Amino acid sequence: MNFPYLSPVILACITPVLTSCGGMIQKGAVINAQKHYDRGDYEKSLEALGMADPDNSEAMLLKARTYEARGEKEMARGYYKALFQKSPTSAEGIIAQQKLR
Amino acid sequence: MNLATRILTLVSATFLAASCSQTKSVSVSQPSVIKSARSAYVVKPDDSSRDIEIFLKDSLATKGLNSKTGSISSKPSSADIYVTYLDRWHWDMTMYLRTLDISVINNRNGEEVATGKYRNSALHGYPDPKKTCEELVDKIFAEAN
Repeated sequence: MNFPYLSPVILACITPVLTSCGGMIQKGAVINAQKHYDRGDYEKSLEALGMADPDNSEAMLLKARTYEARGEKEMARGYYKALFQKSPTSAEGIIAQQKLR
Repeated sequence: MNLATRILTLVSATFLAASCSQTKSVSVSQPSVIKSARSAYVVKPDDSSRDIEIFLKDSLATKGLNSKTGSISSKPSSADIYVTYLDRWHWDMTMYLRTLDISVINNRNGEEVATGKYRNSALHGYPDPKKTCEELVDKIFAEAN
């Protein structure tokens, strides 16, 4: 039997599944990083954030807070600045603005 | 019940209790600012749509503060303190509050004077966000007094 349309159909089904899985992994990475941050394990927090979408505001804020907690003020400031420029009136942007004072 | 069953029950109960536990913690660095505040402003971020700002405003009002809410650009210079927050929600059949961080800031000098933190657990519950806000504000004021 020959199914010429089978491959595109499978591809069309698998693509959204893989895409959503990628999103879930990135979301999970941020949640995991937050848990490490709350425990004061900043190394593991940054490690987990390595798997997160670098443009995600939640991940950017957590990175800034983690660097700040580690005493790396310049790195933290960089992320706060980027967040503020990205979305100054979002929850993350407002916190970043407050930190940049 | 034999010993093995008892141990298994105890371990399961401990695991469930630990997994379901939610945490609320606060830290107050300048209690005098909180105690002397008469007015508060809760900053509503543009991307917030779950009424947290209203719950916080109402909670602050129960503490005797003249409280208002609005955007960061409308923040009045006359307010004694202002509050920012970051709420994270997750989906599990319905949306539930995963984390909430609130920050209380002295509006005179921009210094953070208190923080409040809520964390849901791995085997989460479905907390009432209004009650969570009230409890965090209660804890901050209790700590300040």
